[in-house]
Amino acid sequence: MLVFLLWASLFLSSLQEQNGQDAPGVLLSGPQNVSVNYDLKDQRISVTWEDDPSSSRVPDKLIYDVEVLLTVNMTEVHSEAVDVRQALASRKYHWSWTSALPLECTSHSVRLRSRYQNYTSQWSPLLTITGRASTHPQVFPKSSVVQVDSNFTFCCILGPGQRLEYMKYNNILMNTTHIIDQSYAMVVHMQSPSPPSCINVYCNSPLYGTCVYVGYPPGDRNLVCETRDLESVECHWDTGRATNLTKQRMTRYDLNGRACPNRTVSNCYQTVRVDQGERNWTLTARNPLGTLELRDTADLKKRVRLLAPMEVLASGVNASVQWQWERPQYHILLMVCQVQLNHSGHIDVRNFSGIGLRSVVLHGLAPAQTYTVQVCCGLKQHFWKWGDWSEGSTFKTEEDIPEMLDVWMQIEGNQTMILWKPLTVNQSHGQIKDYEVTWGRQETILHPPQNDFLISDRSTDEGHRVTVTAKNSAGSSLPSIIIIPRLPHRSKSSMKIVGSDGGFNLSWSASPNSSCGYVVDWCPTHKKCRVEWVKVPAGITRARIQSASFEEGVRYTLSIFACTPGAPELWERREGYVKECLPKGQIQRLAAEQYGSDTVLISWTAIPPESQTAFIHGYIIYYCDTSHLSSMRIFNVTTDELGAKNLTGIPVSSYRFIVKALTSVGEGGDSSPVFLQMNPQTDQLITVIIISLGSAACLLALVTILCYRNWKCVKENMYPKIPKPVWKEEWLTPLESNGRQILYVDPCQPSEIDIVCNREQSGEAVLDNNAGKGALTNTNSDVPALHVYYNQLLTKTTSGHFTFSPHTMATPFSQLSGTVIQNPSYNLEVQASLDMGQSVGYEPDMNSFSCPNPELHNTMSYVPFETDSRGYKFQCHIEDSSPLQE
Amino acid sequence: MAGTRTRRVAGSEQSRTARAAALAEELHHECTLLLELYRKKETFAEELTVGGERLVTVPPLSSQLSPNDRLWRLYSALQQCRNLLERAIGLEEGVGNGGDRAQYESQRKTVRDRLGHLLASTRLLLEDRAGTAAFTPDPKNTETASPVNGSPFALKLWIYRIFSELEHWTLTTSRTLKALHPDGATPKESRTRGRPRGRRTRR
Repeated sequence: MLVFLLWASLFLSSLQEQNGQDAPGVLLSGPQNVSVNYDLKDQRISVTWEDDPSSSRVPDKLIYDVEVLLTVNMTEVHSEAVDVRQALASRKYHWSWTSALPLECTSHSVRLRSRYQNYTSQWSPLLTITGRASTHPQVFPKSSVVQVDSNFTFCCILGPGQRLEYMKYNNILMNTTHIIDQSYAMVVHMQSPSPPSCINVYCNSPLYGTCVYVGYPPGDRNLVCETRDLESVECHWDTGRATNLTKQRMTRYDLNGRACPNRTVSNCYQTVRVDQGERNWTLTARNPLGTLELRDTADLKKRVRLLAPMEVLASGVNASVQWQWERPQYHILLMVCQVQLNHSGHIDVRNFSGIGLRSVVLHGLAPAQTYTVQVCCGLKQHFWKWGDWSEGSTFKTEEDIPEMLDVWMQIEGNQTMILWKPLTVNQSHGQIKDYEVTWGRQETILHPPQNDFLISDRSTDEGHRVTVTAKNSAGSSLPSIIIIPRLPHRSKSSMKIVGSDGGFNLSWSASPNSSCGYVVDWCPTHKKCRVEWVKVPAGITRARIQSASFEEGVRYTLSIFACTPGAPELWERREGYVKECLPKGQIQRLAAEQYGSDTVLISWTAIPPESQTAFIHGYIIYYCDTSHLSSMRIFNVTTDELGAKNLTGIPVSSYRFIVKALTSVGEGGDSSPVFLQMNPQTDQLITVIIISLGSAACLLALVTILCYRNWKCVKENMYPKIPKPVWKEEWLTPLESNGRQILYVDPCQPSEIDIVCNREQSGEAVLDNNAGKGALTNTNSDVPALHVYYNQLLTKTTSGHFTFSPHTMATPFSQLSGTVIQNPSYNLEVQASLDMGQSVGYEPDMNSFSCPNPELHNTMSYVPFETDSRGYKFQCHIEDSSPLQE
Repeated sequence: MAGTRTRRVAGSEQSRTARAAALAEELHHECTLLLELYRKKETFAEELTVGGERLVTVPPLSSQLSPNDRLWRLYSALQQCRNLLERAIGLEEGVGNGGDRAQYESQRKTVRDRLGHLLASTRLLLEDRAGTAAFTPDPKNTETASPVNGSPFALKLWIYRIFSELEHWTLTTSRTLKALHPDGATPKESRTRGRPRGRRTRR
């Protein structure tokens, strides 16, 4: 027993050395009165304890070690060293810790000890927070609120003997970890906010689960506090990011520690005294995920935003506006007010100031106009913000006499149309009832909407001055006067003008006659229209001409008139397009015609002026060989060449021609294509030949006729009578045995005539009975066959034909010799015979020349020589009944 | 004459029974749809089936019971359903709504209105048989324990059980009323007037 006590004493002393005897002379007794609390909503463990009694002897700070353990296996979950200050009077300490694992999942134990330098006290007794047990699966924590983008742990506690089948988050199967015994956990990363109803978490069955809300802590900012009624404070802020938490979990607000009404979203109203000078205004925004404080410092007297004026009334008679204030405190405030006038969308804001302002008078309002007026005010001193706008009040101002009419004229022939522009709402100052046109002694009343008056006869002097006035219920306008010129305006040549931006920038030279400015009027050049005009003040010689009626591609004529004390004088003219467009009309009647071998005349009809949509600077002829369509050629034609152009140097081929108009905006008005097949020059050569031959034939015929008509003369000169040689039997030798006869030839002297004959052309006449009885053959080939002459007796047969009979022909040889014209047929050897025949007697019949009827030859019949012919006689016996004779 | 009058009343009752049966059938269809919409809205798993203790407590409808007693029990069950539905609608505001809220709320209103019509029809049938004295006192639903302080999940599940009870009892009502109706079919206009039967009775 003694030994046991000794050993026990030694053991205790050794323990004390280890735990509490490190401090020299100090024994650390450890924390006192330790207690543990927990909050399952926040999964927080709170520990309170009192100071170690021995700590008063510790000169330096004391540290407490806190440990959280899983009770079942005493596994450390969390440990922390807590510094405590010695100066604390209460010596009572508090420490808390939030567990990631829901406290329901398993039991947790807490213990503490004190520590000084390397000396520690004993651990305090374990204080346990008991986990939940269940007969069926349960998921913890219940109805928690979790911040987006955080990890959160759920645990499932199964009943005794139950087995974990699954854990699901939002119907998604999750990984689980076994904590201990029947407790399992899963960690979920909260990626996105939950819907207004929470997200389900199941364990084993949809019947066993919990629900979690996922959202954000408050994100409000920009707190501003002010007063509206001088009796309360009204703070506004921006809510920032939505928390996605609703109902009981939505953000709650406190202003300076006082709760704002439920369902407060972005403003909080509290009754306060506003005369407390500058003070802080603190807004606390709180939801299950966090707390936020916003601050503003303000003197509410300098933060007054007035309420909207009430019962705003406006009068059109004196154009005054009255209103009331809901708060009587406003009646002593020096305020500035905005009066906003809305007139047909045009807004005019006017400022007024005064103490407790409740009425203003508006000046400069247009007559007979409808205005809507609204009022808002603010403090003039310490202006903070404009208050709220009042409700709008609408009123109409009274009518006034109309403004002067803008009058002009349009002269066409003997007719003059007096025109005036209808007054706008702002000019008419009321409803126009009628117009009064005074012309000489005539007065005409016209009613709207008519705004012109036709004067058809202006021959009288007094008719040149026309006065027009407009009348409404307030009276008549000042008269507008226009003087019609007695003579028509001298025509002026127009200059081209180019439009820009839908109008014309017009400028002109100053007119010496202009005393009251200029009038520019315009109309489409090629259309009937009602003229439009604009008046330009004196001294200005340019104007921007703009009109809603301007159309692109339409040519306008702009006339500039000088305003004179008398009638307006036409000063200058312009023609132009607001915007030129590609020609829409088509070039018509394109034709191509070949001239010569390499020239083509192209002709067309230009686009008529009324169809022109741009100024035409020229025409372009496109042509190409149809067999080589790519070989397009271009030929420019100026507008001076009136619709025709010769193209030279064009090789013979087939061509396609097209003509386009050239404008400043491009080419257009394409004509329909024309094709031309050029012909070669040989055809014309043939034509020339044919014509020449025809001409020659005609000439020949003419000569023939002339010869025929003068046949006698021609015959006398060309074909004198030739005596027929006489053939006698006695000139022949007697018939020989072989049947031949020989001509007796006696040498004789040629006559002088024969000497004249060209010996060289002399032939030889051979009488060859074999070749033909009695035939005289001319052997000289140089003698034309036509000159073979048959002297035969011409007798008229019963059939009417003449026949020559050599027997009756007798011509004295001397006479033959006396002829000038040679007959080569007889300048042959026969020449001797002829001489011989002279003795026989030559008896030419001169009467034969009196019937140079060509038909004679046609009806001649050849009578061959008869062997019994005795002589050569040329007889021409024409009976009286012969038609030739006649 | 008295017999004739009795038969006319019986004919009118038959038509009322048929109409109530048709109404119950239609309501059952609406309840099925409402349950499905709620399940989707609260992302409950499709395999969710509630069983165990019923929220509506009435004695069993045995075939030995008289038609009048069966009607009484149906009427009582439907009354409890309506009370539960009203309570669910009130509590649901605290849970928060999400998903196809508009369609769900419209369907919930439809069920609520038709349940009222069915109760009124059933009451008329009971009056035909037992008179108005039978309703003193009016059958009241005992306070059903609800998870007022429970978790949102428990509340959602409880509402789901209420809709399941609605589906169950409207189906039971439809079947019972069809069984009470001689033809056991949906009434037609000519039948509801009861003219052919009346003539046959006179012969």
